[in-house]
Amino acid sequence: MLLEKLKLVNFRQFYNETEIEFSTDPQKNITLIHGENGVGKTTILNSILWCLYEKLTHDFEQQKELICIQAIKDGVKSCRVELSFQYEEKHYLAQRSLHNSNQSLLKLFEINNSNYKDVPNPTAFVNNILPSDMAEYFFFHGEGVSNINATKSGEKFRRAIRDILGFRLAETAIKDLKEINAVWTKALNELTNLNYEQNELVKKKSIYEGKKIGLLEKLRTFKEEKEDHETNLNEVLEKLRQCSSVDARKLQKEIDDLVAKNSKLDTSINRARMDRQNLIKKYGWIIFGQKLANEALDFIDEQSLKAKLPAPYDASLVNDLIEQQKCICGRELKRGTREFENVTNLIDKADNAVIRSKLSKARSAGSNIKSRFSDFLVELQKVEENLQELDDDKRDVVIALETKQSELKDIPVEEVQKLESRKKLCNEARSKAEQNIGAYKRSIEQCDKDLIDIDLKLKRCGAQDTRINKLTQYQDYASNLIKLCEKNLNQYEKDSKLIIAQNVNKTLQDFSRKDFYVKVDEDFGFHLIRENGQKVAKSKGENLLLNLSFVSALIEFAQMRSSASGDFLVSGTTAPFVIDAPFGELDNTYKKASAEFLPKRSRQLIFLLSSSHWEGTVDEAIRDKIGSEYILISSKNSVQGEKPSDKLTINGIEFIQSLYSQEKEATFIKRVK
Amino acid sequence: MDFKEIMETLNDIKKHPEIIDELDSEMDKALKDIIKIERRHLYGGLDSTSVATRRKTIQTYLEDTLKNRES
Repeated sequence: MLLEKLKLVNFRQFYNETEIEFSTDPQKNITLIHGENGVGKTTILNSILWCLYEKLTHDFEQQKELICIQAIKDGVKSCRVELSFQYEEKHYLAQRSLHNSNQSLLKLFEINNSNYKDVPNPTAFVNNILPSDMAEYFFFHGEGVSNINATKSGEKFRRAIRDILGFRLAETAIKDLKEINAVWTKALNELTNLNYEQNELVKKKSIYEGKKIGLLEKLRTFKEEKEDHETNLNEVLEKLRQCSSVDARKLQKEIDDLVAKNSKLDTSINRARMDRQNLIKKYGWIIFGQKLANEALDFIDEQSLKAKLPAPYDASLVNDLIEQQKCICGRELKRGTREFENVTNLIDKADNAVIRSKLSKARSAGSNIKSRFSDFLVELQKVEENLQELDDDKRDVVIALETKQSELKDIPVEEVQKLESRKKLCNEARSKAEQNIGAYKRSIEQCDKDLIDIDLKLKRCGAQDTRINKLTQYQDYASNLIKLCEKNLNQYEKDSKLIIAQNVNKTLQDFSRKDFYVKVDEDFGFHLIRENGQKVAKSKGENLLLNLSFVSALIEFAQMRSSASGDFLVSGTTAPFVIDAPFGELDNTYKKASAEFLPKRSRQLIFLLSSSHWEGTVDEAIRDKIGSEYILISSKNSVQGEKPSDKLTINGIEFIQSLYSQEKEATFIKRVK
Repeated sequence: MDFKEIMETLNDIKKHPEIIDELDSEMDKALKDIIKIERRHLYGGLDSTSVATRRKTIQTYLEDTLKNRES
């Protein structure tokens, strides 16, 4: 933004129309406006602030009385400020007007070849160029804000600086991505609620999986218990085999043999049962098919007997009759007659090679089934007999085993008695463990069945699952983009702070008489720091110097970035620096320093100076860079008397700043360069 | 992504570290595209479009990008 022209129309002490043309020459980038106290320097600064932001500096008195009093006396009821400026090689006119005491109105026009095009939403547009929160830095009231950085900090300040640094696009992107993510989260939540059944199933699955783990653990425990009991039992049996009683040893030997025999029998019985099962598997269909086969064979035989199957007439005979159109009885068979149709229908049931083949196969299959059913009965009989035999053997062995064990138990030897007693306990415990193992195995099987059932149901919810997965993927993507954007912004902010701090430090090194450096904190608050890291209490002059160097560094940085590509950040901009009475708190050394570095750092500098601020060192420092120069002249009704004329000499020419006994009480402006 | 897939991805990265660069540049490109959308909607003309339209455009862009990535 480069300011081109300011036009005040009956604004405060500026009667009628007052125009100031600002220098836009980069070599002579200073516009100097002279004015003694109370003449209107601060009014000029405030007219710019008011025009762009409807703001006034806090020490601007009688803020509601903006219309020129002299004009009111002439019957005028409105005032207006117009500010022409350049932005990104386009020309604009901002115009704010006030009628009576109503709300003021801002209009903005883009000027193209004398055509004025209305810019919608002018406040947003202006804020986009120079944020309102930073206005008091760019339109700087030295006397009123010498301590500005001490009071102005925090998120709002940081926000404004980030706008100047061009973060707005990326920050809006983050905001948008977060909002989009919220939309996806909402959709995901709705889907999840809709998919209540799925959630319940997932929970249920988790419970069942946990339950299965518990059951398997218990099963393992019981198996270990069983093994322990078997070990104990084997120890007892071993002791019985080697005990002092001959009878006991003999009986135990016999029992061992019987147990081995019983075990073999169990294996044989299991095998026989397996054979029976396999037999049923092999011939099972015959059991059911046999009845059907009998019925089918009976039907074929009956139909054959009645000479209906196959049909008593041959297909070739019927075809001959149709071809010759003559019935076997000699009658004519005309196409389209009922007789012809009847004979034609006979073909479907007529005897032919195919029907004969099918009949033959049906007879063969039926006979085969009957024959195999007989085989099945024979084989089954054998298996059943074998099983019966084994069962009988087992019964004998079990009886013999019980008898022997009873005999062993009755041997009146204490050692044997004790061992028998232990054996009984071991057997009972092992049996109990086996029961538990069985029970837990069944529970695990049931659990597996339930899990399969849950999985099937979950599969049916697959459609929602896909949508949920997709939304989750979207969320992850947006979150990663937000993180990346924030990371980039933080890095840019860090870099920017470093560059700005370096620029401020360079100014301090060059011009401050103390060895301090500046540290920029998280919210862009800047502090003077000693070499030992301690904060320094700033004098008013030092603070003013610090503020001036900070804003000029910011302006320089924004300008430096004006040619940036803008892939990520908004390109930088050229900003004006309007300074009202900046040197009040500065001594001559600091005045000279500021007057030297400010024009170097700013593309456009507008000084509003009283003679005490300007004369001497400042004039010497800036004279060559002045592109435009004005004097504010106060016109008064009163008689001069002893009052001074406020003379000002510029380049050897004397100007009077106060005129007395004038018709109008107002401020006028005179261009001197 | 299950454990096996994670391990495979890590092994791939170990063998072909350039994969990470590709991922990064893909995200960078997406971010730049979003910024372009923001710029078009915020500063495309003198009049900016509505927030809802802008967000809808970005959302569509993200969904399309992910669909293309899948296919």
